[in-house]
Amino acid sequence: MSNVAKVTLTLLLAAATVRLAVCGDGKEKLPNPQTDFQAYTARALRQHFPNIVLTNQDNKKVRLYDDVIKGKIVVIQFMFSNCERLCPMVTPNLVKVQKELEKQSPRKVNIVSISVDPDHDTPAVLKAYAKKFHVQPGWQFLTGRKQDIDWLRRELGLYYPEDQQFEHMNMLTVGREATGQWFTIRALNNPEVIAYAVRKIIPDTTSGRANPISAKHAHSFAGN
Amino acid sequence: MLDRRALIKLGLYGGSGALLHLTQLKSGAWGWALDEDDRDDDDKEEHHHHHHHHHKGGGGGVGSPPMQPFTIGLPLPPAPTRLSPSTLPGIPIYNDGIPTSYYQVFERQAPVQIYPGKPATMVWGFNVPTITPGGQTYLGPTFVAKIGERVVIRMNNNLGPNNDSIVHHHGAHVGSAWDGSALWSQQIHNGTFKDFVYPNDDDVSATHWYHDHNIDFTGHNVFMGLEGFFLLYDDVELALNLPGRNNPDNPQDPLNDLPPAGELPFDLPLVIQDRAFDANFQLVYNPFASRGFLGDMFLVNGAIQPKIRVANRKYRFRILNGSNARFYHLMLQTNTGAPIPFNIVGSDGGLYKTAIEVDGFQIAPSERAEVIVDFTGLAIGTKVFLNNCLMQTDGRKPAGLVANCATAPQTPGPDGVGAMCSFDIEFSVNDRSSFTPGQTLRPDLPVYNIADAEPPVPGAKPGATHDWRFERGQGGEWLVNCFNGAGAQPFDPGPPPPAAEKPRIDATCKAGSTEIWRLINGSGGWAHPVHIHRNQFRIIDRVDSGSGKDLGLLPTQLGLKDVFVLDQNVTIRLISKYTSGTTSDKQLGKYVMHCHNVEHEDMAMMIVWECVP
Repeated sequence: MSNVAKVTLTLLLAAATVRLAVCGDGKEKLPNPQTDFQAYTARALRQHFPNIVLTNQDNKKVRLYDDVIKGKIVVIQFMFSNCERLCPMVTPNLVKVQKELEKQSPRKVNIVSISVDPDHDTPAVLKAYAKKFHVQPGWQFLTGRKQDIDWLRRELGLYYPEDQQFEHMNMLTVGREATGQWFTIRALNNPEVIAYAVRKIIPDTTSGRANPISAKHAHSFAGN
Repeated sequence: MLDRRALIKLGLYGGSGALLHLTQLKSGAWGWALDEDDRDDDDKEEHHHHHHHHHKGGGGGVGSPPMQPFTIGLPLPPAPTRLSPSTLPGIPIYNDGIPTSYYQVFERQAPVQIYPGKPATMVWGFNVPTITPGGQTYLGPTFVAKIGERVVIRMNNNLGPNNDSIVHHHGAHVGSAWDGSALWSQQIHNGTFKDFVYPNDDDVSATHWYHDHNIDFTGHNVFMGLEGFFLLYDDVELALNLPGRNNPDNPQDPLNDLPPAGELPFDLPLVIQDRAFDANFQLVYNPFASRGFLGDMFLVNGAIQPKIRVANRKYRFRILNGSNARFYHLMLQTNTGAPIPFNIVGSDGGLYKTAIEVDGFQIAPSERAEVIVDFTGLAIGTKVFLNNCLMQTDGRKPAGLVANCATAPQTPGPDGVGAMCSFDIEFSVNDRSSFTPGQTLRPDLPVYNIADAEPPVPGAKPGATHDWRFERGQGGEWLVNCFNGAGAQPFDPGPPPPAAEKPRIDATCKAGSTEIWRLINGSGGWAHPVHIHRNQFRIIDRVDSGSGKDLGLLPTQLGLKDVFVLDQNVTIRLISKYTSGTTSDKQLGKYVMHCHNVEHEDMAMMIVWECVP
């Protein structure tokens, strides 16, 4: 596809999205809290997910809300590759969490590690980091503008300028965007406990088996 | 073009990328557009500015739709209906001669009318919508039981897919299986029920409550409304003929102090809470408020700043702070600012030995304070405000008393200072109740002797304490006993089902023994209202964590307690005996201790302890 065609298609899609999101009186259509409280809550919580542009370990640009969170079940962790105290324990623990989740609820949960030292953590650095820890498909490492990432940390309650001694590398933000169910859990918990807590918000946790072929290169699963 | 703040107010703002706004196109026409994310830095800064002040982990909701204060009545949730156990298949039926009452409760989501004339608010609650003569509320039914009366409740979780619940009876001696600790085995899954047995045989008359205690989600679930009162009474209390005396066993009891038809009782349970609402009158919770969530609206019994119609006589108010993270300092003041002194007659675990006169008192999340107020002599038409004089803009801790609470605004300002409700003196009525300021109430409370205390470790000196330090781990989580990160151990509920329940046990306490616990806040940064399950305690002393200087006890800390406010740099010593009642089991098993700032609790500030034979 030519670049012009790509741009045109993107614009058309964007226009369609806008049209879908707007009802007759020109306001964005809100879900009815009385009949669909989960969708309403999800809509209200969107304000906490700035749609910042981030870059993953494959140099692909993603938007935080649109591409990483919307419609997905996510486990978000903040890290930096040079971190010597907590991250070297957290990342292997999360690898175990991922194994546990893939065993029990394959391809439902996306793990998202976001660097708080983005100037150093280029996509190439993050790719090497991911490789070093043998992370599996469904786990993205993201970098971007420091001020954008700090904004997200603030929104998730894990960053306070006066609290610099607490880097909050130790907390996982877990949620299912479609239902607005979000919680925070300690990253160094027993991986079985973390996986169990995450699975509590997965719809129909008994269904589906992994499709190893299509999952092979995916950094992101659909969830719902 | 509307600026971003105006859009936020209109409810059109929805996260940076999803900001939908009217914009003038290059053609000159107006059209809808999604906001661009790659704005220039100035624009971004404005965003940052906005987010720095609102919706933060440390703060809470702002911008709730305003409401005219003191216009709506006080909801008073009714007692639930007693059921025949035959209507509840499979429920444990007791034929041992001990009076037993059976109830059924449904946890569910429902709309309740909080803003009059506006769209209803969706809440989560016990048996909601709760409809009372004073208005609708998210509070559950008010259970009332006599000491020695067993209460059996079938608790149904109908909260919807993927919504678990744990139900905790806050304040009572309860067997561990029914305590409602944050343990996997205690979760009630959607579409299932659990039968709870409350023996009520090892407490005195008291203002207890029940609320959700689910793992990781307590902050949200309590905020949405899963809470209610559980009141215990006994013959000693009835014999005091306090205001509002009402012997449920004998409605014709001539000593009952009942109101005229259509008026509120003279003994009023009042839960004070802060909440936040959006432009559509829906509750707004921030699950990322790691410091503690604050709302900008004050509610009493689920009504925004109600007008409570009263007579110029004595009243008993049972005040529960049902807020997630807000502390209050409550005072009663007339519309001219004149303070009305009153008596504190009890706290968490029941009535005091002796009443104490005060002008005001601090009450932390989950604490209770029973007060007797005498409106006698006030002219009809007088308005008395229950004012919060404690500033708090951050979930971490309150920010001190306001200089002059007499000028507290009727609508709370951004600092949280303002009126909770008004008491409007509108009628006179005979007062047959009995109360003298400073009088003796309950000389029969249990006494725990320091000399009896067993050391926490064999061989330690008598009087040695079991120490618990409440602080923050280096990863930012709220911890108990992490000792500056060395071997930090946060709350660990143990391997998930179907594995056998095996949480990490941080202390074992021998049934029947007496122990002294010491709760330590070594930080100036945060305040923690610590709650211990199973027992009632007495506070021995309250000292500065650094200097050891005696700080004295607060007027809400003089009786039996289950909540202990660890203000900044405060250490509290408490004592209890691990007793159980005569009609129930030994209440062995697993219980928890945690911070009752429920956001701190959800972020791991909890430990499991076990009562052993």
